[in-house]
Amino acid sequence: MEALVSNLALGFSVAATLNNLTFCLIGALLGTLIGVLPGIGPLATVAMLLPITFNLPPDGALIMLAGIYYGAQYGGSTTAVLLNVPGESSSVVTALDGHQMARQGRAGAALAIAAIGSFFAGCAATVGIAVIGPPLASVAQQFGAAEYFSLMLFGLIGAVVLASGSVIKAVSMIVLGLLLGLVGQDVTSGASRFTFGLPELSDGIGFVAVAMGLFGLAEIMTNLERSQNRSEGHETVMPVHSLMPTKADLLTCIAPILRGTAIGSFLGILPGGGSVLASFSAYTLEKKIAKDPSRFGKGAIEGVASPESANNAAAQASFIPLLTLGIPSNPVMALMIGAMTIQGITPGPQVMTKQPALFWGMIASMWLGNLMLVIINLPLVGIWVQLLKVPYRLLFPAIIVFCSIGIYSLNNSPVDVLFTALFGLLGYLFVKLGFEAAPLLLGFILGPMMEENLRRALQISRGNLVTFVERPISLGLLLATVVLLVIVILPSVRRGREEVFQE
Amino acid sequence: MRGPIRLRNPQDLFAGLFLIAVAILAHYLASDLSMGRLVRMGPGYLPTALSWLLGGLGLIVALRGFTIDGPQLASWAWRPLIALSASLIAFALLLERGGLIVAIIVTTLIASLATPRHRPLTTLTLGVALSAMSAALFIGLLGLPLRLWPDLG
Repeated sequence: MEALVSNLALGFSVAATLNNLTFCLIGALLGTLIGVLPGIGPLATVAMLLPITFNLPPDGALIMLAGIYYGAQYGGSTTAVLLNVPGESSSVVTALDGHQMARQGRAGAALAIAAIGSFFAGCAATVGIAVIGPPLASVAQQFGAAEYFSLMLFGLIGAVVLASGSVIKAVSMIVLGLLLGLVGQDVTSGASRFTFGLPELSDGIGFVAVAMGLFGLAEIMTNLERSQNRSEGHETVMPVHSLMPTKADLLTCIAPILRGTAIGSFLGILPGGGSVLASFSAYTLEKKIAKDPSRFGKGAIEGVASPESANNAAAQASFIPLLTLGIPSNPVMALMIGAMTIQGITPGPQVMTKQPALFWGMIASMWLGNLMLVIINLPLVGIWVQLLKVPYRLLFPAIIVFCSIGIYSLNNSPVDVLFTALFGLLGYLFVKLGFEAAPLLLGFILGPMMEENLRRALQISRGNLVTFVERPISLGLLLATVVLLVIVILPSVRRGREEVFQE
Repeated sequence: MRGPIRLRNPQDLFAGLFLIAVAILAHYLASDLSMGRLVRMGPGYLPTALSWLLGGLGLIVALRGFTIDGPQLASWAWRPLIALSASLIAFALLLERGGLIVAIIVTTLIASLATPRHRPLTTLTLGVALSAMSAALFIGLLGLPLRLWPDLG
């Protein structure tokens, strides 16, 4: 307990410096700004805004990125409520009741309760990280190469099982990602792999180009395609009258917010969990236990409060495996790993012991960032409404231009911009072939780390594969991986899973 | 129930063929690299192993094209696809020689072609506005080492 307090005190001393507060604020604002744009989810937002953080000091960069992430999520809910166009899959649920509330003239109450729920969930999850982090990291510090390999395998498969869509196609995407991750000079032997003789590829494919292409550019392409097929009818942006929820609203929402926070915190830690699953589960639960389930879908405020809390709790909790184990539980965390690597930080349990200021500073900044979102975004909601009225045909060229500059300025390399275009095309091809790009990104980020740990483990064991099942933690993780795969292949579970994702 | 083999899921067939093609390419590219052995893996070990795995997965996905009913191959929206890629390529080619202003205006013009609803004058205004904003923000404020005007020398 004492350690917790002193750790958090250290964190706040880092996060509350003027510089870091500014980075946090800019991150949260920019994240909301881009996240509020219809059709652009947190993943695309983080991918597109990555370059602006790379010239910052490591703690500032990570604080800003975290700010961008929860800002983007908050922006996505705003769009869902006001426009009924969910920016991303975790806001789909928010749109159900949130937009109905907006139609009844209660947009302000919906937005306020979303912000309050998110803030509470963010606080709870932040404390959760601070409590669970150190013990988990000390377990992880005893991990050897074999355990790490098995853990990453578990993480990859877990991410696939909980994701929607075809499992086998998702596994294929992981393998493709692993292969792409191997592009470049092999660290051990110095041999060039898959470089086609291009010197630009010797350090591997830039992960920002991959992420921005697959998620940012491909998303704009599919958005434009959708609006092409849709008739010109402008969606009407719902007006926001009063931001204050009534006392009755607040009282109704206390329990849903608590439940949403609990569900979100739990699911966020799991590989592949993330915010989508959390908000869906929270909504389903509220509907199940409600006295009058028929109110849901017609503007029930619990249907906004609980999923929004779950969503934010999960987003925050997904930092736990990232910061303590160094493995990403969802694609946004994979981007964080990439960003950490560029900053010269090796993600893993050693971050907490070797760079406590960075670790605790980031955690404290999450709390501050959530507070900022409540204080700043509610008054700014008018600006977001105006932004939603800007036609897309003016917005997307601007996004393209800023993305191009961002990509170029990473390494002052025009080739990176070309690669972004290439991965944009690839991302569009994936959409058309029914592939999800998120597992590819996880494989791409984890590929080099997995290879390194695999090699090291086998070197230590003199080429004996038994090492992976001899060591109890590694064995346990591998067994868990097998169980996950078996479960998802069983027909009965498969049907249930499809139902969940259909809703 | 046995019937003649027929294509039931074109999307998966093509998805599988795509994976197989990538696997063959990867296998070919990795064939020059030394494999090594388990105890000391060479640079080619994992690429080769993964290419086999990808090929196998691709085969299963392709076969599903004949066993499980699934969606047709979706039509492609060539317009945004070509316009957006071309706009990025133009940016990459123009930035260092043409400078930021020219690159942004051209990029905006090409990107706008992605939608049939673009209006030339609005787009040009947008391009000019974006380049002025970017010049102020990226060169003025952030001090990025970017050329502003074309290199005429």
